[in-house]
Amino acid sequence: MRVLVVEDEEIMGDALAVGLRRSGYAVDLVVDGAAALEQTTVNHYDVILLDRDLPVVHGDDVCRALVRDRTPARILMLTAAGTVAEKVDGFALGADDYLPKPFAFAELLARVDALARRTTPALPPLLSAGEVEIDTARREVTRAGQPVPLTLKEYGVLAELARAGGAVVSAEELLERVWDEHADAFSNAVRVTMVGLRRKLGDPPVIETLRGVGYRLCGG
Amino acid sequence: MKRGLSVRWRLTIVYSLISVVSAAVLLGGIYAVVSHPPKSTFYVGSRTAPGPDVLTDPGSAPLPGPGTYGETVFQAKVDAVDRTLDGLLWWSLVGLLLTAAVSVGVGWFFAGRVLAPVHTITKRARAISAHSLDERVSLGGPHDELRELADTFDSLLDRIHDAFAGERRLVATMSHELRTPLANQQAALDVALANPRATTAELRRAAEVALGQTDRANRTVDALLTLARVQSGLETARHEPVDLTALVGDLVDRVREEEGSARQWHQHLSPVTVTGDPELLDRAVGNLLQNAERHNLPDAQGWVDVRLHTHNDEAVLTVSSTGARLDPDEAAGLTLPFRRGVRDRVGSDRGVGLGLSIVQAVADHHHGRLRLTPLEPGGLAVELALPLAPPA
Repeated sequence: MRVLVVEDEEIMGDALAVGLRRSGYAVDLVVDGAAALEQTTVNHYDVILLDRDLPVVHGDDVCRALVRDRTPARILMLTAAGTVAEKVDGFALGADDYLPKPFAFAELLARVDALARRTTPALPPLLSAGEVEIDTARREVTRAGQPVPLTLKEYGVLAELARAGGAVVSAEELLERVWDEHADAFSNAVRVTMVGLRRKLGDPPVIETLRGVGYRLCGG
Repeated sequence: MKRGLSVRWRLTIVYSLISVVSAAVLLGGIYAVVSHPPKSTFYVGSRTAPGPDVLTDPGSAPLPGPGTYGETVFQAKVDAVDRTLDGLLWWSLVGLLLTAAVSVGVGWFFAGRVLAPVHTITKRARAISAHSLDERVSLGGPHDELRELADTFDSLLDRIHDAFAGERRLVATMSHELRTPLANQQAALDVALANPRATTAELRRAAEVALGQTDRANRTVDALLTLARVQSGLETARHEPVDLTALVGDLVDRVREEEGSARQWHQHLSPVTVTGDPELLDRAVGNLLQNAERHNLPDAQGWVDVRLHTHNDEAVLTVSSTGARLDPDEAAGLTLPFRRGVRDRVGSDRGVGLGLSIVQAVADHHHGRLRLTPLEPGGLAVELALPLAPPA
């Protein structure tokens, strides 16, 4: 799951990026509206956290442009303007959710989770593939009832495969959706992570490799 | 509240009084002329028989024999004149009463017509409250005195509307500006605390960030209070001679030192003394210099130019500096509270956005002017003009 944070307040942006990364999201951070529009044309995001009062291109215009281009990303407006009229305005611009600042980070995270789930078709908060169960709200993975401790990247890869529902996911797609823009496209990060993930999930193997194509989750 | 006679009634009374008095004067005049005719028209002791009007009058005495016509005619004539005068008096009174009645009616009607726009103005002005300030009296019709009154009302409402809108905008921006550091604080602390394995260094960093944001909120509140004090004129402003040259020179040194500026500063200061409040002027000039330093290009490329001279009974301080490119509208808007130019610095160390608003308030306070002109290819020239002699 990849999130774009558009926030001109350095402190707020950093805190959001750190917090979301810790919860397993791949986070890109930009500080103005123009950079946000540029990023969204280059990368595919699941959720966009959008401040309204942005320099260069106003957040409202960013939102309008994204909605006009039929972005698949869910837009969560994050702003200090919190009156009812302002919230209604935000939704009218095409935002999927609106959270006035200041907010509790736990609530923000819950909302981002909820938005990330709202893909088409909507995903349940609990994903499963055979014996493997993934609780996306708590970020916990179990196999046959036994908890499986995973690193953030391993969890991210597994969740992506589970969301695909048995379809093949390429290594490039995994790299784009689990790692942020700083990841090296030619690295073997996906392969390394996959090794660790397979080892922790144990036997019989649930992840199948289709050489030259990608990976898929069996029994989904 | 005791209410006097309405204008409509007063106009009506004046109108009917004029009508009645002029009618009375006219009738009185006629009566006077008729009751004392010039002597030459009387002929006494006439030997000719009286006309048929006298003879046929049933009320007159039977005609005596011939030879006494003179007496008889005279008597009949006196009777006729008396009767005519009586009739004239009666009809005059009736006419006067009629005139009075008609003039009251007509006066009431026309006073109503004349005053109708006034009622319209009152009604519409009364309907306009603080929440419907965009409504206007907008009285149509000819360009007369009442239309002028209505238009004056409308332009007054325009100004009130602008002032109210500005006030609301200020309150909205103020809450935004004060909420932002709080939001930053909460986010930084929240995220740090949510991590059960956070190291001491991470927690310490979060605490430092939070403290920094408290400081930022404090600075905003301080600047707002200063602005409010200067704008409301509550600041007990002194009026004393201020050596502007020394003040600007000292401030340039202070700002350069405080900001650790390594860029080029050019100074052309002629000796100028103005009358004003040294503290307020210090703050205004300080803000201008600070802005020039902070909203500038990197040290090596940017410069600041400070000029002070007198021009047409005014002390003119011009602070020009390189910086981001601005268009004239944007430049003029910079004096509005919390209006920042192109954000040359992202993060919490940028100003609170009240500097130029304070300068503007200080300039107003000293009956001076503040003008912002964008420079090519980028940057801003700020001109602060203060009158040399204090206005009486």
